[in-house]
Amino acid sequence: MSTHPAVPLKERIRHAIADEALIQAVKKTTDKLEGGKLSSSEALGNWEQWREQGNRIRSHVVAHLDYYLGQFIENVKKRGGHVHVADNAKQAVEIFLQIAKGKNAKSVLKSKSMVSEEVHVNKALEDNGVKVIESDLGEYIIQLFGEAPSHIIVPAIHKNRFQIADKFSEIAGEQLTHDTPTLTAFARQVLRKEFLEADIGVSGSNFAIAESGSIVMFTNEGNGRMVTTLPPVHVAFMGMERLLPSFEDLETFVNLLPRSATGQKITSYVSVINGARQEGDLDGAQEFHVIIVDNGRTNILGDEEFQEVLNCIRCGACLNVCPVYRHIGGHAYGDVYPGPIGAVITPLLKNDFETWGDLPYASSLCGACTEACPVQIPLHDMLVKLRAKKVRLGLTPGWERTAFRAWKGMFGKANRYKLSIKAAQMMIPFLAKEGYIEKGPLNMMGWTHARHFPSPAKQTFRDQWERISGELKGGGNHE
Amino acid sequence: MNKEQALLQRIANRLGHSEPLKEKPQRDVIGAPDFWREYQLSLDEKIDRFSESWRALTGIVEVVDSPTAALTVLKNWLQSEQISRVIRWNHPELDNLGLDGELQGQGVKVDIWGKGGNFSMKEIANEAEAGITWVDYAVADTGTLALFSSAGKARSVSLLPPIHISIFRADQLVTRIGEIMVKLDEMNRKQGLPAGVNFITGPSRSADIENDLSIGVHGPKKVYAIIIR
Repeated sequence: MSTHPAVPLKERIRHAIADEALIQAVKKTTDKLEGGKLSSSEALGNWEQWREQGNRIRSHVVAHLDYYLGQFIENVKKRGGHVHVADNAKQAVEIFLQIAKGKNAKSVLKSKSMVSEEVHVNKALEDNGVKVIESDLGEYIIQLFGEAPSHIIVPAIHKNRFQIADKFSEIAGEQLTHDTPTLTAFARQVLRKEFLEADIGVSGSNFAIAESGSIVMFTNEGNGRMVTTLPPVHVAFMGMERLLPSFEDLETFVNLLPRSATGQKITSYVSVINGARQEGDLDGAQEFHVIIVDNGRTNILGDEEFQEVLNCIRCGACLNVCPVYRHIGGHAYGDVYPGPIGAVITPLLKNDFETWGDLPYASSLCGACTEACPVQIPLHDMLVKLRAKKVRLGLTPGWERTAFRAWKGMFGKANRYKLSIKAAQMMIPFLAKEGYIEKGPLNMMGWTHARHFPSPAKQTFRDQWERISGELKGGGNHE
Repeated sequence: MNKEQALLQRIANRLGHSEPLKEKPQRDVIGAPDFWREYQLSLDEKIDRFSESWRALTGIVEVVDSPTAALTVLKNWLQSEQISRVIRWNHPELDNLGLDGELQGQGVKVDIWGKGGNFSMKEIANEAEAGITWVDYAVADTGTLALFSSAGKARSVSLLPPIHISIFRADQLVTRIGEIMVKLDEMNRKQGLPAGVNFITGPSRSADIENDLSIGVHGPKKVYAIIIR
């Protein structure tokens, strides 16, 4: 199942870069997150070795996912948990609706789960008359606005405190001040009541432990703990690749994930849920369900070019360093996963290059994402390979293929190359103004639409080289 | 073939296995890197490191020499926070501390988890102004508490009240969180894992509004710790 964005990527980008407030907010937050990551990883030391360790553990799990997922499923059941498998988004939603109907649920309280966003469960619940509330502060805010998250870690990155204060005031029925303590206190008060009354609590799972059948959540606000402690039923959404073999392995990710995500040494809460409450317990859910979601992930397995992307631990570090994300924010990517990771996994998960194949072009291929990734996913290499795949599928425009054939013919032979450079130089006076090309011809217009292109040097490198090497040969006094 | 088996078979096929692996795969890398496992602090260093990390996140900590001294610190804190209602874990170490009588003498109502009669324990915890726990372990490296749930050691006590006070002995401190992870693996192999394990580091926090740090979003706003030498 593939969804379609309302407007094409170029439109979305044009819309985003016109929003000055958005760009400022995104820049401010990503700067802070990236700075925090750099200082906290430096303070830990041996960051490269930690990354290497993270990469090796995750690669091993993904390469043996049949074993570890099988082991996880078996152990959840041993603890009395309910295991559900969703091949796609539609099934995931149906499974959840079945659970909700079976419990005659009126109210569902959610903590953060990217997979539940991926399968769009909220709308289906509302359509069925079930109240669904996002309890993560950022998610709560954007739910009130009827919007989608624009950052994996900071979902409401694009909203400022004035907008939020106005929205909260509507609900409060009085004008609230726009300072964050007031706004936070308001959310605490409203949501606390909901936590205590909810019929079903929903969480995601940052990791799942195969050997014990546990799920692990990294959270800061405490809402993840609330939804797994107070309502009688807990349903966890989980991407099928989220596994780690044992708790011992979790130590590496306790060190990698919070630092990469927010620059914290560890999140306020790392919560391990080992199924439903046990005999004598008076809190914790009485019933535990886990919905294991495929939704295109098996497409990526066994593909040697892209399998490694399943190592991703959803930290958002690649977003914060990406010059493109920092200029356009999350919504322009058109689906739930933004930034470099989104540009890679969206076309792969949906297996639809016709609709989503333009995302890998939303990158300057600078490689900052690869460098930032705590599990060493070669994201920018994958972006290139995805572009190549789009070409192989015959989805690029005819003129582009013709242009590249011409380019190949021109640049494949030295004399033709020289000739083309000479021809281009003759064009410069018509195009460049004060050292910059402001409006390029044909397909160069895409580039010069938003910025100037530096005019090529008056003398080409080849010409310079000819002169310099001539001078050198001509008896310089070098040794 | 049910849906789970079908998924595992589909995964196996993609990975080039004729059927889902049943044998535990060999691997050459487990847990944290070797250099990190060598990281080991002395008892005094652990106390210092814990306190430093705890304070860095606005936590308040006192290191005392005796249970009696711990009780005095606790009473002072409750007094300065003007607390009149607490809920505590039903834990033998807290029984031994004899805090119920002392606090009630000071005018503080003490509820014990599981001893609420006909009232809902969650409601009682929700109305308490502070929750008191005796943690299972504490991690020096990050200033983290480890709480294992059980009938008397409910998760709500460290979650619902706006203040969380934890007490433990210095010998419950470990250097790295990984030392507790290994214990969880051992407990699991002996079928002894509790329903919930929470690692708690500092107060509840969020930076979701303009990346401006705010404390006490859903969980406790203030966290206190008493370490008994």
